[in-house]
Amino acid sequence: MRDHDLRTSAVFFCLGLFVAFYSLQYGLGRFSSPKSGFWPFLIGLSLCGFSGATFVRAFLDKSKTKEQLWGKIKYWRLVFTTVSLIAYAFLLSGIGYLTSSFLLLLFNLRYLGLQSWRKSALVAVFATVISYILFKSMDTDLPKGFLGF
Amino acid sequence: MGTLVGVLPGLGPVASISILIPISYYMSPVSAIIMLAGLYYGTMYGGSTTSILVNIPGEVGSIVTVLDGYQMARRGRAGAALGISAFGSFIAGTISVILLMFLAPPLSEFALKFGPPEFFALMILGLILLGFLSSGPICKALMMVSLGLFLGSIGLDTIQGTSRFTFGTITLLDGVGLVPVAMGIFGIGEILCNMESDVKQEIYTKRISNLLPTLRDWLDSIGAIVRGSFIGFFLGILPGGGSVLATFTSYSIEKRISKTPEKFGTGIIAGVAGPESANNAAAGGAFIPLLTLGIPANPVMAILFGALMIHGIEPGPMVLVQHPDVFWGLVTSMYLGNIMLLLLNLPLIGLWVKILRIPYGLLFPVILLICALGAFTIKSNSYDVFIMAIFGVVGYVMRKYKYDAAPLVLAFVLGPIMEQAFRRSLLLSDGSLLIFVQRPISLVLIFCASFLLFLSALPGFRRKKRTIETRLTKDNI
Repeated sequence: MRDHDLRTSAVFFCLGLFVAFYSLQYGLGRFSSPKSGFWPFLIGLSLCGFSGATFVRAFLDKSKTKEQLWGKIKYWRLVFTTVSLIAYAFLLSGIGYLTSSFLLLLFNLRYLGLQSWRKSALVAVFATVISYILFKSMDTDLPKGFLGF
Repeated sequence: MGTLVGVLPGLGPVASISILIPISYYMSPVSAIIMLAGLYYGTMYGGSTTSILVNIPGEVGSIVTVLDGYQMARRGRAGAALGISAFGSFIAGTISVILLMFLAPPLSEFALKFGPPEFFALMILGLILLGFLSSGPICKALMMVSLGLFLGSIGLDTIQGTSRFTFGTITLLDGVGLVPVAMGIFGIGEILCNMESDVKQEIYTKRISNLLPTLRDWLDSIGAIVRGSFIGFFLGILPGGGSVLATFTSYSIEKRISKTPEKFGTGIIAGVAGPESANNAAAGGAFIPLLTLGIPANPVMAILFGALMIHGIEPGPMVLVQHPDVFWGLVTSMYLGNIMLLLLNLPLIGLWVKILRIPYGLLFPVILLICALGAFTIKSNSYDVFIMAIFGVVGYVMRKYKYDAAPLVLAFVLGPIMEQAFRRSLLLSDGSLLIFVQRPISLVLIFCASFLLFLSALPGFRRKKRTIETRLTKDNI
């Protein structure tokens, strides 16, 4: 994990610097009357401190073992899942709960679940309807979208 | 529902409780907390089913059960393993409720002596203890704590009304929601991990019989059950302790005191009874710091903390005084819930086995939908689904680079309260930081936190912790 820890701790160190400097605009105040920027400023410093300690620890680590983190991964599956979820977020209010949920389930079942189109469509319809009934029975407000349902 | 969540790998109590929070809006606070707590300790029952039958832990507290539980199933003793697991969970759950009932009131009395400096010091100790107990170096865990504290500071400063790190967006004025963050990191992150490749799922095809343990099974297990109950309860109180530490500790102790330690890992019933009892007892113990001190001990309690706040109940020593119905309603429901779980779980084993046969390829899109819906229904805002997706990626990357999510979530929840306590302490002391060491309780807490940091910096201790982690990881394989 040495190389990975070096890289990630460097990223977090930069984030800590950003947080500390950005919080200055909210004002630090004084110890007797701290302002809004005081707490995030301290957090930024602590993030810098702990990421710096992680960096030093990883730098001094003499073990030569290399962990393969990103080896045999089907990246397109990860991207597909994430993009489908983001697309769902944007479509939900627009086309309504029933249509967007059906599409989310259909494409994930077909391309990631490796089910046939028929099975994917059946399961998608079933799960969408059941979830709709379940959440509606608990008086949850689900978006209708421009299609009216 | 809790048992179902425990049976299904991937959903977990954190994500599931998060999904139920919006539904709990329509309930009274007492009913809401009973429902959410019931789901939590229900998952402790369900997690053992997948561990024993298909060699996959249903949730983190059932990791150790895989070692001997699955071996028992392979030898045709799945029924005995499931049975002793259910009975052990019931006994441990009952013991932990009794202990909760007797320990919570005096602890609440003691906590009334706490002022802002004591609460701040206690939260510091809790976060450092969580980092200390996390796998890997403490500095990585404390990085996550700092990140969680930062995420908690986004939005309106409740003291001065300044909007912080909102970058001009109205949506961020309310801050980043706990539910999308928790569901993203734990729920979506888990799904993304499973999406890396096609998951080969073992399907249990044998018939399960003889669910009632024999007299021999009881004689072999009763000691482990009682020990596991007390170990689990007291370790469950520790922030960061929870079910993982409790189950590993129980297993290690049973192995150490056994006359045949070499047989552990081959299907020893005490290797199932002890950890499963510790698991359930830890669930009860975790309520102690939440209800008496207002400090969530683990991510699940952090979500319950958020749920209580949503219902207008501030967790802490005043819960017993101002909302005794919540505390005693919860205790009563835990007694009844334990009985119901025992009566339901064993007869429903056939149903859980059928559910386990559903391919993950069919299950995960449904879990994805439930998570997305859960995030949306909090404020009927699609933006929360988007946040959940982003934190799903964050959670996945954290898992890859071996950063613990629990410290981040706990710090995220505690951050705003810590800030208030810190700023109030400085106002009380007119800006002097010495207030944290001048008050005796605060001094003791700060000393304990410093001692933990010192301990983790010792080279000998770090080496021993790495050895234990490596050994436990090898045993899991």
